[in-house]
Amino acid sequence: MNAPTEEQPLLDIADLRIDLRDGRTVLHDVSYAVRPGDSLGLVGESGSGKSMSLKAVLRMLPAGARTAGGISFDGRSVTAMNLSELRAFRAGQVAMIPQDPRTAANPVRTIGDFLTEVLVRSRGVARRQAAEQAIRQLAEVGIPDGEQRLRQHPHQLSGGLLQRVMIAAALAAEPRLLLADEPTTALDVTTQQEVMAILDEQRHRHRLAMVLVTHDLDLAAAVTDRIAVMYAGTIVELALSEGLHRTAQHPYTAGLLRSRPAVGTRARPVSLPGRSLSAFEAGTGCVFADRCAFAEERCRSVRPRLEAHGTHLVACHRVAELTAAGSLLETTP
Amino acid sequence: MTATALTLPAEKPGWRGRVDILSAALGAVMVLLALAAVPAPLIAPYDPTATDILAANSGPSPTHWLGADDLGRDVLSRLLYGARLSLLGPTLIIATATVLGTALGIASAWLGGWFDAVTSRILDFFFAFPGLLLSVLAVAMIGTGFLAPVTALALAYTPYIARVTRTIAVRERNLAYVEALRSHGLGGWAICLRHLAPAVWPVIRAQSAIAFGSALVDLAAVSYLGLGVQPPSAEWGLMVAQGQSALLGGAPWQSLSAGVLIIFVVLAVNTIGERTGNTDTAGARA
Repeated sequence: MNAPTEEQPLLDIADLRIDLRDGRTVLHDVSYAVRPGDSLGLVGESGSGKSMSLKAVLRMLPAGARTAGGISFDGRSVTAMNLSELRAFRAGQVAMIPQDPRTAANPVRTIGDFLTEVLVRSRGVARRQAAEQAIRQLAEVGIPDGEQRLRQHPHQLSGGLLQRVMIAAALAAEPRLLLADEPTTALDVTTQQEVMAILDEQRHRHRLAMVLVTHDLDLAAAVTDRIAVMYAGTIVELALSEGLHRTAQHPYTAGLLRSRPAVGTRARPVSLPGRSLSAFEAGTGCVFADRCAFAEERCRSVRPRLEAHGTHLVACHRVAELTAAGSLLETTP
Repeated sequence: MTATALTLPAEKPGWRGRVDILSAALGAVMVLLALAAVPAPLIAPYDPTATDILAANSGPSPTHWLGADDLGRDVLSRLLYGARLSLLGPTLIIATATVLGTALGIASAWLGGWFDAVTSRILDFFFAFPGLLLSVLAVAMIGTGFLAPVTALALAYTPYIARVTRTIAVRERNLAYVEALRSHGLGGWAICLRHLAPAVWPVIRAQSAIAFGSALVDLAAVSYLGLGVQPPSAEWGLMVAQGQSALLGGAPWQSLSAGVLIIFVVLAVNTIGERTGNTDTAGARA
């Protein structure tokens, strides 16, 4: 394995397309790259394909799903790996942080068993050493009494504590890429902050790359370098996180931003008209055309490609005229 | 409150709930029965094939505690010797069916797809035949004796175990924690052996205990029909059959004592299986 240079992305996804066994498309024309130490937020509504693209990286799609396009990790194709390479990849290179920590550990096993199982099974670490390592890892994520925790069962821990255990488990393998699937959705708001702070700190300390899936644009903007906004199974806008809330160029991103409630202002959030579509429901045109206030004839017939516009990548035919008229966030059609 | 004060004392895994007295008592009797069966040559008062023509068809007496059969053989000795075959048979059947059924059930649940489809159809095929009919078929092919009905019944009981296992394993496999284990790079073998098998075990244990009772009755029935173990070997089902004419002639001891033992063992394993199964599921739900 060659050492990744700054130019070479750690995770490179090119024109990824996923069709389920029944022929429904859940993801299409998705391309993104994450360099070592970089973080990318995948933001979108339920059914937009965010989680699917993470599962595709681990090759954990539902049975019968077909993948087209390239997924490569550190220059190696993930889709071409054989079973043992895939296991080694999952065990040592990439770690997943689950959405709901309460369901992510076997309820009848102890935390210690959960944290040491992979070390003992797939890396051949001695049981005692694995336990010591687990205690150190728990301390690293802010759980000081690791020795007692190892003997407890998942139901004896709070959601936030359990999510820290999940982070510790993810870091145990010393991975290079973290995949976080809405890691704070199942937690209280105050706990969310704590968990995100720990995740962010660990990520920086170990210089890990991360793909964070979330429906919370503000959260993604706070902890990631770049954000890819997904709609109906594809990326509609990809831009630097910083300032995205001011410079959104795609009408969907602007709509998402307008529809979140803002603390401190009395302005009503504006919801997007219509319901969010899945990839297989989108027609031949722009996936967002049905709900877009700016849609015109060609938007409904020709699908726009994700193209550079200024510093952003945007998939919109009318991006030039819309942004020329001023910030999309204030424009009312 | 400090963080340490919040820490609960670590729970030692141990007895979940109360020990069931009835199950324990029945279990103890079963163990005694098995313990008596193994060293039968040492405890049995007579050779099971030794005839004492003067005592033929006699009732209980100080010399023959449970009487003697039509050839004057001691019934108690024959029951003790018979316990070996009568208990060994169902044990072999259920051990085979449990191992095979659990393995097939978990493999079906884990692999899914064509393996699941093919395995399920084959199991359905065996499920469609009553165990007794399969035994008769096996005897017709292999010949009378111990091996043919035991093999046939092991195959007949495998679907019972496999189906229950598959159902529970499918449910377990779809839980989020299994996906998390896979994402950690754990292989299929490790997940099946260390997570799925322990999850199905409490139910399978109860299921196997109940199936043991049925297997014992089936095996006794095969012997009763004269297709299993052949005379002069002692076996409970065979003893019930051989005691028939004496029963009509007013000497019920042989048939009756063997029949009572069969009924007792079946009731005991059923009760134990059902009650331990209940406490296990109650514990899991709590």
